[in-house]
Amino acid sequence: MLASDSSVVAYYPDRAVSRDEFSRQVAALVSRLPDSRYVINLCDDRYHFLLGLAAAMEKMHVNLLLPTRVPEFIRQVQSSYPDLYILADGPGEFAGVPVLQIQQLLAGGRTTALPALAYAPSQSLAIAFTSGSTGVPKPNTKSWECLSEVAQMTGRRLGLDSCAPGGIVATVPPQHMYGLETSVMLPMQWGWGMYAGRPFFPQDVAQALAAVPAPRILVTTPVHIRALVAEGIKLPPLHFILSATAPLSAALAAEAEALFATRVFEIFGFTEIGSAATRRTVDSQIWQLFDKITLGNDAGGYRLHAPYIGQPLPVSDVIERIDDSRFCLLGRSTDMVNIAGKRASLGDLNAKLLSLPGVLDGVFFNPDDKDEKVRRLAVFVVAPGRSAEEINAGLRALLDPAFMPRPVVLLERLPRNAAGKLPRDALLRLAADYLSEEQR
Amino acid sequence: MSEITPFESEVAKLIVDTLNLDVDSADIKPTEALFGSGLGLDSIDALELAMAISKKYGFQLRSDDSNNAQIFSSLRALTTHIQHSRSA
Repeated sequence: MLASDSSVVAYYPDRAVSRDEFSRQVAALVSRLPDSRYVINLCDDRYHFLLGLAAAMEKMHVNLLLPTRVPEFIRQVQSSYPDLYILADGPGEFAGVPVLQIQQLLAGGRTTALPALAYAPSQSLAIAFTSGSTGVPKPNTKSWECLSEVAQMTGRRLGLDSCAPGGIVATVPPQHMYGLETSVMLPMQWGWGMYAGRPFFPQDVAQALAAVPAPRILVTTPVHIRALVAEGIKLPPLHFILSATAPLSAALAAEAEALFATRVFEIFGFTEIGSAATRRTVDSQIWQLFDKITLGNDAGGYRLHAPYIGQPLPVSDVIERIDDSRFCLLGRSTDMVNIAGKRASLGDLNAKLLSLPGVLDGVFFNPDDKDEKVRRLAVFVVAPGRSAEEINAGLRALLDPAFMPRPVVLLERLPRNAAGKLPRDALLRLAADYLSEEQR
Repeated sequence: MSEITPFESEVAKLIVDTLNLDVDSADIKPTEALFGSGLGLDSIDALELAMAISKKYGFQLRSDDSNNAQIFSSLRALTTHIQHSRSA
């Protein structure tokens, strides 16, 4: 998978993994993987994840990227993709799906090196699922060409073509599109080394960055940038910071640039297309699309065109088109909820709430974004005889933890209008009556 | 179950205030899970708590070899970790 001759694939605090070792371990893994069609790679260690990805490609297994590990979602995926195994590097049980531990496979595999890996551009590397407005997992197939093109364009945009390879540290998991593209595909395509761990607290981020050579890139989110700035932590010299998953304010970006003497770039994308545009947050409101992506104004709305996707993809965010390569982001679609980078449809959340036993009426309330502090959803629900704990227990089985309501407010009825609808201002009045300042 | 200590109550209050939880801090049992099926906290909460702890107790959380799960497993585990780190 390496495009350059850089000799290090991954960094641990105490050692580096060479390209030779990587090839040998991929070969060992290939010799031990089962003959299945699909794999869910849950490895937490980013280098383990990469090994699993490379070996799966060699075996023509398609990686399923899930937006959540909620059991109900895994069951739905399993019913559509029964020929499936899970590759993991830690404990975890998933009803009925065989779990293979990567360390055991590596220990017992054959160790001759593979020939240089080569893939057909059209080979399916992954299927990334979105939860869709109906709650049914919606598959988005990602070919090798698509993922490598995105990594090439991202690297060119960020100047990796005129810079010696260094190390990439990421606070995001490799199992989501943003993490896969920027912390796995980007280093592989440009010969950079990835940090194998996933630092979490600001101190961890500092340690991880110190364990990789300069130039250093930090792949992260607004939530983590806020924590790094709040703690006023000292970081090793940074080439730049990449942020995605939620809007970053120019003010916070400016603070981070000053404090860490670096530049902060944001990436715009969504699961269906992957990374598509960037901006340097302090410079401009304007997003610049990657060089092979264009923004069309077709009948029915704005669509993104790229040579590696089958047909133009509609943009669900509210945008203002400047020309075919630039746009401004005005807001999210009103049905879309984004909590710390996890997305769901309000319509689907409401349907799940209404599906609970004893719930007569109910609605999720999505507070307006005010700053980078993550705001949680609230629930207003009519469920005579039920407690908030019972509602929470029911929702917990169906929802990713990010979407769990805080709080659940039990009411005798919802203020629906004559048409049976709940206008936003009625919800805002409920919020004013029942939620604290911080909750709305 | 053992009694809640004054310091545990203090940290329980910090958790509830920081995360705007809809529970009384006195109702948090020291050995109950904070994440998952207990209070239902998630990793974003852990980061928020880390910031609040750093501000209030003057040290920064670190997860050497990712033992976050251990540190945040319960109110008692978190309180013990804060006490150790403060005196370290």
